[in-house]
Amino acid sequence: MRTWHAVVVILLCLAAQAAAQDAAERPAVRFEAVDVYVDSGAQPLAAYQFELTAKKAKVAIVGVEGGEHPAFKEAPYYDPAALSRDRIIIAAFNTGRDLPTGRTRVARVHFQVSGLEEPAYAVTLNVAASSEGARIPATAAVEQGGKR
Amino acid sequence: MRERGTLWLIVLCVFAPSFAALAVFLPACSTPGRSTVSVPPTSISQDYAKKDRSLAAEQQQEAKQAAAEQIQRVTEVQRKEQARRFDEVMKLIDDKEFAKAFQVIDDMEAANPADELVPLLREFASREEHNSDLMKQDAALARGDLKFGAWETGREALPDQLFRYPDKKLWRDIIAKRPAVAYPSQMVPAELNYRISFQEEVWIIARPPAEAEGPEAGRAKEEAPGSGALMAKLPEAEKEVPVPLKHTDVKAQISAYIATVDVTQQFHNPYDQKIEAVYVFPLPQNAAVNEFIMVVGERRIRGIIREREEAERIYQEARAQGYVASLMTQERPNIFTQKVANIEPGKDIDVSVRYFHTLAYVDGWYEYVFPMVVGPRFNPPGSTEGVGAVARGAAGISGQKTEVQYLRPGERSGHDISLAVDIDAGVPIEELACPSHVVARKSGSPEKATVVLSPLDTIPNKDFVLRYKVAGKAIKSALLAHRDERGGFFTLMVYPPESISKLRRKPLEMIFVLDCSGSMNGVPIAQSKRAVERALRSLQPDDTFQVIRFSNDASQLGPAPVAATPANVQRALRYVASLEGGGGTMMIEGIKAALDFSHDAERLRFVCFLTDGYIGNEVEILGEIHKRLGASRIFSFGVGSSVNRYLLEGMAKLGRGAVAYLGLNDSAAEVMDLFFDRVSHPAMTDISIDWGGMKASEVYPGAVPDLFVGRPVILTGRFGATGAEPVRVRGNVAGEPGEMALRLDPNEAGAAHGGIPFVWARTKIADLADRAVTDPGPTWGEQIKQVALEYGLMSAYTAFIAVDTLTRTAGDHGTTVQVPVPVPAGVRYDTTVQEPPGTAPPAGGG
Repeated sequence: MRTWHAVVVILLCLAAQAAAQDAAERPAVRFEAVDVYVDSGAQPLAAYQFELTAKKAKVAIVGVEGGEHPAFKEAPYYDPAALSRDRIIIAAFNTGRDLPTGRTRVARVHFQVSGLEEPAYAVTLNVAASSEGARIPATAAVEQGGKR
Repeated sequence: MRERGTLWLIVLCVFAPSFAALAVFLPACSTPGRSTVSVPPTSISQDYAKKDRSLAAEQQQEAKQAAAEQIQRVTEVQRKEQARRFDEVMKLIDDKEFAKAFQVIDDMEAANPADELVPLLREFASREEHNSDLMKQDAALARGDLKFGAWETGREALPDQLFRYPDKKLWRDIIAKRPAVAYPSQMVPAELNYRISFQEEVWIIARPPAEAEGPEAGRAKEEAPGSGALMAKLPEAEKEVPVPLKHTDVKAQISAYIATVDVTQQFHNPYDQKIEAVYVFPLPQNAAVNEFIMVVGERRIRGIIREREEAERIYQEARAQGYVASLMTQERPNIFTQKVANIEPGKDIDVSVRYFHTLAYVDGWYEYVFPMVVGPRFNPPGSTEGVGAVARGAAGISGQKTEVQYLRPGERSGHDISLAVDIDAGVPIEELACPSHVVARKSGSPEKATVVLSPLDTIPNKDFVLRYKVAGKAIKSALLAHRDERGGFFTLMVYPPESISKLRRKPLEMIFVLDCSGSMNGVPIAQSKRAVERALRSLQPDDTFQVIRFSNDASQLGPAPVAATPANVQRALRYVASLEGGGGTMMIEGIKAALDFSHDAERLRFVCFLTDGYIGNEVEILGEIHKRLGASRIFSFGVGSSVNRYLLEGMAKLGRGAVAYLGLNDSAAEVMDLFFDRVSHPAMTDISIDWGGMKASEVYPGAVPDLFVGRPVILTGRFGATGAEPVRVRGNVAGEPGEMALRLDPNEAGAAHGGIPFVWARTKIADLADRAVTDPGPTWGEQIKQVALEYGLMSAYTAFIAVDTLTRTAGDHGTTVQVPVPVPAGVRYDTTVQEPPGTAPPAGGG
């Protein structure tokens, strides 16, 4: 019986040590990117504004990059007055004719993450508009990782 | 005796035509009553009458001819005398005997004070003396390794006044081709109206080492800063140092009087291992930097404005983990540091910044300036927050928080610059001049111009200065406005009232303070001395003056201001001539000496500082000025090719005066004459503004500067409404109240400009920083930070950070390599840059 107790204690210690080691191996400060997609269906997307937030973890936004379609390849603008460590409002527009339809990556946002928690990213699309300036129905989504 | 003879000749020459007319007139008057005698109209009488008329006509003709011959003889004698003296002057200039040349010119003036040739010759001699200094400097730049250099003008004609090195022989040839000395009014200094034609070349001859003469030449060889890029070079002439900054591209757009400038720095790793590049660079002191983009391959990442400490922490972490990252911080309002981490061998990373700023309007010219290099600063003993100037590779030896590394003599980097300025003045551009660089101008319409820096003048070692004049005799106060979701913003250029240019000033007490530190050695101090000499000669008999010099310490001509008598002026001229550059820049000593002086309450005291401003303790200096100013006004003159405009503007602002710049290619006489023109009229002081229907708020600068002739001030603020009531500018002119009414309507403002909110925020930050100097306290920094974060602007308390979280390089951050820069044109390396111990005597200047 005592042997069993000893084995359990040892196993628990090893498990705790492994967990600690795992946490130790994860850098306390790390960097990652999230991609923001807007899906405007069949309507060409000429302008958008969204708000991106990161909860649960301590983050800092460290860069904003454009999207995949040429119409939104330029680094979009953000509102410095509305910027905080974990919140950013980003907007862009394009007056050209070559505009994306369907689901397209419009921006990539670079983050610094501190601590062991994983951040929970959320995007709210404030507006999507056509080249005539009319509001169009669209959805926004965020993907973690930033695939190259 | 000869002078008296010349005087008679002049009298004869002037009055000869009158004598001739008198001779014609007198015979006609010698038969009084002839017209009243009644004579029958016979043929005989008609014949007599004809003969009489014929005789009179002949006499008139003879008299005219005699007068003409007399004039010709006199003119010929004069012309020969003038030609002889002209040749004498030219020969003396040829022989570089400038003092003797000026003496002959003075003699000419004494013989004939109205001789129009005299001022032209004096100007010519001054410029030749100046050019001689430049040629010496270039010989030094070349370290004697160059046999010759060619400055090909290429396929485009060069605009006026772009000659840095007018070739003397060429100049003389041009003058010789003119109608010459008898027609002095046509003999405009050649550089003002000479144009190089297509395909033409100007050869710049530099002496080979064997031909160098005297100790001066030997010393010049050692002083070379290694940036003589206009010269062709022999293979071993200069050692090119690989640097991680390949190129800087500048594109400026000027609309009305606001410039939008995009600067792209192209970093490149020329080494075989990973590096971090660090570059300390200048921008205009009033630049509102609001955009920062890092370019990695095809990808453009917009930097984020953060509190400075936070941005620095993020950058250090990204750098340590191998991510490509960049950080831009502000060390002074006009000095910034760019850091780019983890550039792999052979890879490029670009950083682009955008900023807005208002242009200065000075004496009828708009002026756009782009600074290219940070001058070597002097830091008082014990300071650690300054800007150190150290030799390439000698990081850390200055002990200062910020350091600039300089290329040694004989070294040059491959870093060059391209620059283009698009001007949309809105009204026809009458004149355009670039005294600092070789440029080409393309013009689409009278209101627009594009100025492009010549590919032959791309060494970033001096300020780029572009000036333009627009049509219209009187410039009116101009309002620019912008509205967005934050509200209305405006910027207003207020011109002084016309009336003040009609009033004369009171007697002055002029205090000239010359910076004689090591960085002023050579051409800059020669320019300073020329300017002060001119100023001394311009003083009125009822003025008083004093001359102070400072470097490691301060000393002066005398203990108190003295009357501007000819004897005192001569004594001062001799004192100024004896001054030389050397030692440190203990500007505080100069300020104490100038402002603690006994003052005559009956006179206006004007303190003129002539300096390059190469110091690292600007805030301390400005604070000292605020403490000691009293009744004085400070007029700062920035002397050199790349001066510290932040300090000089700050001195003038706190000193309730004005700033002027004297470049190495500028005429010191012209700059001083404009200054005297300005101070010979009273300023409009104690200005208050009733904004009428604009409902203006948060107008900066908070204390409206005084208005001087030729110097408008720019105010920027927010407005809540528009209305019919005019804006009223009230103040005192020569003790009497004065008022100007300006009809301004933001709805009809000259142009809406998206940069105005940033210009406003930047001006507010500058105003808060000024208040931190005059009323130190703990809250100013926090206020500045809040404004900067809200408007996304660079400041001392904020920074731009950009991290590419997708590009992670192997290993740690690699080696840090600072981009070394050339010392500014005209500045000596050995008196300004600190070498590591044991390699050279420590530099003492700044």
